[in-house]
Amino acid sequence: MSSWLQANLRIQMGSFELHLDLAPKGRALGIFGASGSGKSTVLELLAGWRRGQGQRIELLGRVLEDQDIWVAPEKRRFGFVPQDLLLFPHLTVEENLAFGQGPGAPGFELAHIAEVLELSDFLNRKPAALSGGQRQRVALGRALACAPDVLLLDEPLASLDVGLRRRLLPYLMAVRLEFDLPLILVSHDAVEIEALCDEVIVLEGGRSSSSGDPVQVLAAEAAGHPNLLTGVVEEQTPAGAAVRVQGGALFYVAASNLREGMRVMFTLGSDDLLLARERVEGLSARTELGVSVAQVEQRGDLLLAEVTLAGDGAPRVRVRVTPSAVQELNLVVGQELMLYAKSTAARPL
Amino acid sequence: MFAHLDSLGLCLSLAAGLCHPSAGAQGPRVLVASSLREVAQGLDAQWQAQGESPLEISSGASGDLARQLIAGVAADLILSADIQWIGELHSRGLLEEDSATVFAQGGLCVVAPKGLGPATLFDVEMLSAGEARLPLPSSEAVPLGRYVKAWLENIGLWEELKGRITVVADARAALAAVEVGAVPFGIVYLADARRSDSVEILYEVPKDQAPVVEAALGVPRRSTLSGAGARLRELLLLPAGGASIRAAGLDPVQRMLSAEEASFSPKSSKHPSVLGPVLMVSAKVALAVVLLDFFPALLMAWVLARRRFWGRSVLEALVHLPLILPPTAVGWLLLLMLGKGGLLASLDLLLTFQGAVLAGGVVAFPLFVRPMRTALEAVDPRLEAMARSLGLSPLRAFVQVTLPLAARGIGAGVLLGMGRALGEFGATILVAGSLLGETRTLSMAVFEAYQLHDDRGALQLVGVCGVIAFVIVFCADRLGADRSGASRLGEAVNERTPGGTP
Repeated sequence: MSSWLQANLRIQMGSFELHLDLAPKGRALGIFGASGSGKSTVLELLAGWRRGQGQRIELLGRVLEDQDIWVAPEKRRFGFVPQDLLLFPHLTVEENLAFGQGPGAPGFELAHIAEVLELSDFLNRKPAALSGGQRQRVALGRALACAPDVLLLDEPLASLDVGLRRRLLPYLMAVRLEFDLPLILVSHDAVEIEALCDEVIVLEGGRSSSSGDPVQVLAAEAAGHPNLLTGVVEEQTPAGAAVRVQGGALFYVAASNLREGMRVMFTLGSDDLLLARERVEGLSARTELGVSVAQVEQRGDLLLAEVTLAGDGAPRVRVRVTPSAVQELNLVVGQELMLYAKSTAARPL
Repeated sequence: MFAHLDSLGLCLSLAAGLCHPSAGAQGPRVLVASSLREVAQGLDAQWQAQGESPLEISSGASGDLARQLIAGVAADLILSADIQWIGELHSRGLLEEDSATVFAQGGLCVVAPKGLGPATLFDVEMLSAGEARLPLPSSEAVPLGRYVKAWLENIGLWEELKGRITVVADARAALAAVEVGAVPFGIVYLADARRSDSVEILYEVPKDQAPVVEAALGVPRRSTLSGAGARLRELLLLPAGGASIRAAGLDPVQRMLSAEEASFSPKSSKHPSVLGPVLMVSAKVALAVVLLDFFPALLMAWVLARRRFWGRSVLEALVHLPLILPPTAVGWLLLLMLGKGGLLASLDLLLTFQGAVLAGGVVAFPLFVRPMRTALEAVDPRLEAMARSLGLSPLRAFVQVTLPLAARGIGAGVLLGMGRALGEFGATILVAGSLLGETRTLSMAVFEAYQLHDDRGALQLVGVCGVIAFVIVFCADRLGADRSGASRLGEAVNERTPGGTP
């Protein structure tokens, strides 16, 4: 089966050259790279905001660009959320959402979008009167409203602080589930891509340096980033939700809005975890698990102990440690240890 | 009021004296009516032949020159086409005793653009046939206007023709209107007509039908070079001086100003208020200029704000040219284009309301464009790109996103352009003249009031202009200030991350 998008993107801008072929296998493609790697340019070339040289773009069987073909941006049917959002400052939230909807261009129902993105309460406000996260959701809603063929998301969470980012990620996941659109997500945050995409391309200096399954490809990139785990809510306790992950380990996650039976994704900060040689009494940490050391890795100044949880198919968790801790705890492969985590170290997505 | 003017003139002349380079080498200063320039040039040649430094010749309308002397300007000789003004100077005691002298006579004639005269022999009745306008300086303030009025009254055509008179600045402007073919006939000084290559003389007004056209001179008491004035006067009144008078197309005479002539005071004339029709014409011109300029200015502003192309800075300079060029230069270029043989001659716009609109439109154009362009530049072009990605055509994206965001700046451009059109004078007087109820705008009326020495009328008009100008500038400024506030808002809403490229 051929892919929904086949693109050979080519552009030369001064000394920078972008040369990238795209043919995503999954519904959601992530493009991962540092700033200056050309990831935003990829989206602008697809949307027709920039003209490449000798490109070919085919979307859902429709040729958008080829030797003698150049389809104008208004006919490309991409829902674009650029990094700077580009909300129309003179229009209200509702008018922004309805902007691309005309008599000849019906899209998704606005009420539905407003509900999924929780925008219903401030439809009459202007963008200037919104918070950063609300603006982000309006931009996303506006891109969805005209029922595009594909969503293009450029660092949708980058301008937000960490807390807000984690709160917005569920909206993006809800959009994936509710509207079932193919999407391309550009980001320099491995967690975002692991959470939303089934495939990733790592972009370096305008070229693909690796690609494939996000968890595998980004394992190296994610070293400094939180661990990502999935599980099912077992019960809601005053201390947080108890979430059972594969293999049986139970994590306490600081969240009051999770219901029993819900499947959740959460992150564990590698800096927020403790290792102990034996069981410790009287700690405030709620999560207490037996683990064994799988490997100890040195990355620059960073020392990471990778430990395996008990049980079949149990995930591995990275814990940041200091060189003295390596000696004191005798961190060698196979060593049995206790892992402790406060419920606030586990944050739901 | 006059005391102020006098001291102001004194300051100006003092300043001029201070700024003068190498005052020692400078010859005497001669104030000369525009129609008598050639006489002064002949006199200059004679003067230099005596081994003297060249004359400093300053020309203008006779009334203006006289008023300069009244204001305290120093000069050694004044050659005036208006013996009444020499009388006024004399009675104010500003001239040397026994210096006021009538020194030349001339006549009037009817002229037509060269090659465009009537096929049959000219008859004065032809003047009143048809609807054509007659260019004439003010019949109350400028000598040519007075002479022509007296002649036309004498032959019974004044009542019929006075409604068709377009007031022009002076005798030379009346001739120029015929030269460029704006009108089929003109009545001008015979001397002027003889020197022009572009008109043909159809009819010389017989001496017994009109008052004698006379030019007079006087030696001002406040001189720049002691004794030079008396010597220059002698030189001009000698037979040799008569040659330069003849060369200028006039006949030399020599007659002391009579006591009766010397007691005349030109500022005694009274004028009905013309504020109503003048305001009406100004408003109509301003509105028509907005209609004429709005879309071209918006398009030009967009091109300059958004397009990058070869020759863009040249285009930008051209657009702003009318802002820097003297309006009279713009007017002259328009005359060239609209006049006989010009590119736009077929439009037949000279000395009409449409001509006033065109002159105002050209001069005001850069003031429309500038604020519009700034406003358009302040709108992030990526907002338009976003509108297009949401399915809008480039035109709809412009109308729905860029226009509303730039609306205040565009409004400011309209106000400023309109204000400029209201105040336009230099190009309009050349192209459209000043016909009451058709082309006489506020600024024309101020000039007329000045020419007529009508201080009360001028004050009234200047007051009205001041109020209008204040309101316009105030509103435009408010729009501009709020607009920049709005764009700051826009930036805050859409935080740009640095580095647009990759």
